[in-house]
Amino acid sequence: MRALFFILFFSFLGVPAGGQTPFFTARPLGEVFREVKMSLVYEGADGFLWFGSNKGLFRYDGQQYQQFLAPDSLSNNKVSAIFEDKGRRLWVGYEDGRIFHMGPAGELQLWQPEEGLPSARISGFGQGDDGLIWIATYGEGLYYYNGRRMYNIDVGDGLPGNDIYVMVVDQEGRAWAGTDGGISVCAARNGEKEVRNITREDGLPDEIVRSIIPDENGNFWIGTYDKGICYYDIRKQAFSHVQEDWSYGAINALELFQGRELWIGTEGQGVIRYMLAESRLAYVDFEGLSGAKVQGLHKDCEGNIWVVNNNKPVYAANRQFEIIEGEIDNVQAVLSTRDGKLWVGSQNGLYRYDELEGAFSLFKKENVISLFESQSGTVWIGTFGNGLFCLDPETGQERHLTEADGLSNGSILAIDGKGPYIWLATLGGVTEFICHNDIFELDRTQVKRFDEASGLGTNFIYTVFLDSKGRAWFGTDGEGLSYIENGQIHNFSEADGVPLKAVYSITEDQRGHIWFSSGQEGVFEWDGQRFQHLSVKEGIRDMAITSLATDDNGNILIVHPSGIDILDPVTKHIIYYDNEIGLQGVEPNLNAICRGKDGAIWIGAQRRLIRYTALQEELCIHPRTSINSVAVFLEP
Amino acid sequence: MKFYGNMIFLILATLLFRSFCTAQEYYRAEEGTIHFKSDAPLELIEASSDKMRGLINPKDNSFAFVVKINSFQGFNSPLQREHFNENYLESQRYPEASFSGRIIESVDFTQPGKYTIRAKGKLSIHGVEQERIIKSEVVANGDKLEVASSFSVFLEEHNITIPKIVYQKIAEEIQVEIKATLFK
Repeated sequence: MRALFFILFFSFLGVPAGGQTPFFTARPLGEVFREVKMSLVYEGADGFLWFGSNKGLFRYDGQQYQQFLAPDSLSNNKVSAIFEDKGRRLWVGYEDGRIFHMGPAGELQLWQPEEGLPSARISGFGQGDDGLIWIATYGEGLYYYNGRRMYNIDVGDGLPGNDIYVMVVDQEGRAWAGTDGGISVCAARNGEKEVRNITREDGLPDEIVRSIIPDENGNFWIGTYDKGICYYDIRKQAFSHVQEDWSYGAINALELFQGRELWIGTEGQGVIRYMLAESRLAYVDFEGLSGAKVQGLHKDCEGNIWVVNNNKPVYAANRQFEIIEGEIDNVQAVLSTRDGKLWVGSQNGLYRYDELEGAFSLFKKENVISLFESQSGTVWIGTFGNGLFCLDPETGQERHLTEADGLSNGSILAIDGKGPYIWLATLGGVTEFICHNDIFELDRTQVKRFDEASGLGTNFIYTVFLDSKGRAWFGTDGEGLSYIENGQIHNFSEADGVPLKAVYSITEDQRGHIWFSSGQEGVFEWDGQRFQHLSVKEGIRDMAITSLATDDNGNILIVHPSGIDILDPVTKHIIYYDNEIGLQGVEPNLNAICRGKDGAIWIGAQRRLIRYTALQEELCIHPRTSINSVAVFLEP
Repeated sequence: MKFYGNMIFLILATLLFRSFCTAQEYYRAEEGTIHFKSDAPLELIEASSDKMRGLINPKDNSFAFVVKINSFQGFNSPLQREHFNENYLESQRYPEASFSGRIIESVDFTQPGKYTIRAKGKLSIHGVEQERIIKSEVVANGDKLEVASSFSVFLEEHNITIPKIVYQKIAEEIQVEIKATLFK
């Protein structure tokens, strides 16, 4: 019934569901805190997450929450703003205007400036490079504190209103305050206040500004009450990405993944993603957030997106991984073409995925085991036992190639290519097509075959990979690694002292080093001179590696039944992803992996497609030490 | 230019003060006290004046307080008072100190009670205006308001320069307390 409601809900709204969605997990507070309602989230420099609630401040260490109450716990404990300044002092603002700092012993200490504290809700903090602390209130405008004195900017100084919903400080130390009358850009220079208002007359689509978030260029994404989002270029003083028909209600929160998408938390319609490249909106397709009033969004340093909402509890998902679940059995091949289409091969056929509809449609009934897109846009479809199909998706023109047309074998396990050179790994050796023209003009296509007789160790070839130097690498069944360069075949039956048998997957890092996985021995790196073996001792946790790929950041993805590991090829640091990103029981298929035009990596598994996106943000993957207290001879 | 600006402000404040005095809806004080203390390592200097006048307009939350500099009494010696007036505060040139502006909180002073309010305005001393927020306690009791406040003044913020030789005798930060009873 709930599922039906969900479908109807999205159909009615006319906003497409997101298709692939990060795997959200609830981070509940526990029974003791069942009356607590979280309202905001903030991340400190030490990686702890701080949550504001109606019952005080909470710190989350990834495992559990710790509550911090204001000393006078009978008073208002509604936390309304959290901030850590450049000196790593934590500022905690409350609904009643009080401001506390976190003391060295982990106790909240009331800040008592000579000027007194606001008596209106603290709605935000910020700090510029000049060190000024900015304090936004809902009712008394802005304050700024220079370490000695606190000053106020309100309607008397030119603010359009004293109710500040949101405030951010720009790279020049100016405070951008979202009010009921537009955005006020405020500065304090040489003791003088400067206030400039940006209103509808300037192109702001709505006067009521509820959320502002800077991007990597120092410009701003803006969330409004009634007119959705827009983007403001500070230098050009111009708005763009204005939504003509926004019908998703007030915006409460924004979060940005650089260059990819803007997450939008709405007043009662859950979370929407705005894809920057396509200027397209899509609902975050997660039932727990359906119809939620989102109060806070936060992207943490590990690539997780946190959603604070009225539906309780707090939800988090790792943005790097998105999952399409339960559509197709046994995904054996994936291909993301340059036009953004996703093709999926399985034992039951070739499917095409419509991201807008979030649905697969059967395209061809074949046992499809490999896929490739040529430079001309032709989709090469390798089958298990029935040869190769070449398909022009535009015209529907199709050509079926078999051993009679020069294929080494009818079972094509992998296809790779560059320019006119397309290589096929088959169970009968390797076939190279050189098609300077269209593959549909086969008589003008050159076909070459390589097999045991040519010098390959075996005819059973699992994979083929073309590196940046134009070499074609092959992973064989039982005879190790081979490559062909200038028509010469080179074989490796041993690497770093380890005999090589089956080689399943091959990739190349940004330094030109070749990485490959073997049947049960882990991962190997070849720098052109020597091999280095990475196994359990080096942190490879599952030897049954099914595929390797290199992401946009140059890291190596290692896919196996226990999850996905991301390896920094230089430092050899590895981070594991599994249950927490929804990969429990993942059964990836051999080399069911591809790289899309946007750099996303698609991974096929049993009834599941995983989309990995290397974020542009610098993530921190290493555990950090935090000393909260010290005891000497058992005395604190 | 700054000097003329300050003079204009003082004239306006005075005119405002007079016009306020004629209206019954305002709270006014004629003999508020103001006390300051300079607690330097080698000397404690204190002085007071009970000639501070003040007005609060509850309708728009505006206020104005003013005191004549030469009305301060106390000090540790007559010579010190002379130096205060002639060398530091230059009371001939800048005869008054004033603070005027608006109360941030919306308080209904017709309701008896004790309120903590913050007054935001321009503090003018030695002809130099500084915007300040000054926290005050106000006890409202019918037609009477009792205002008490303490705050600090950094001499450098008002271009009051101290010879190096007296650094240890005059504090850079002066503590100020005011008390005033205002009547309707």
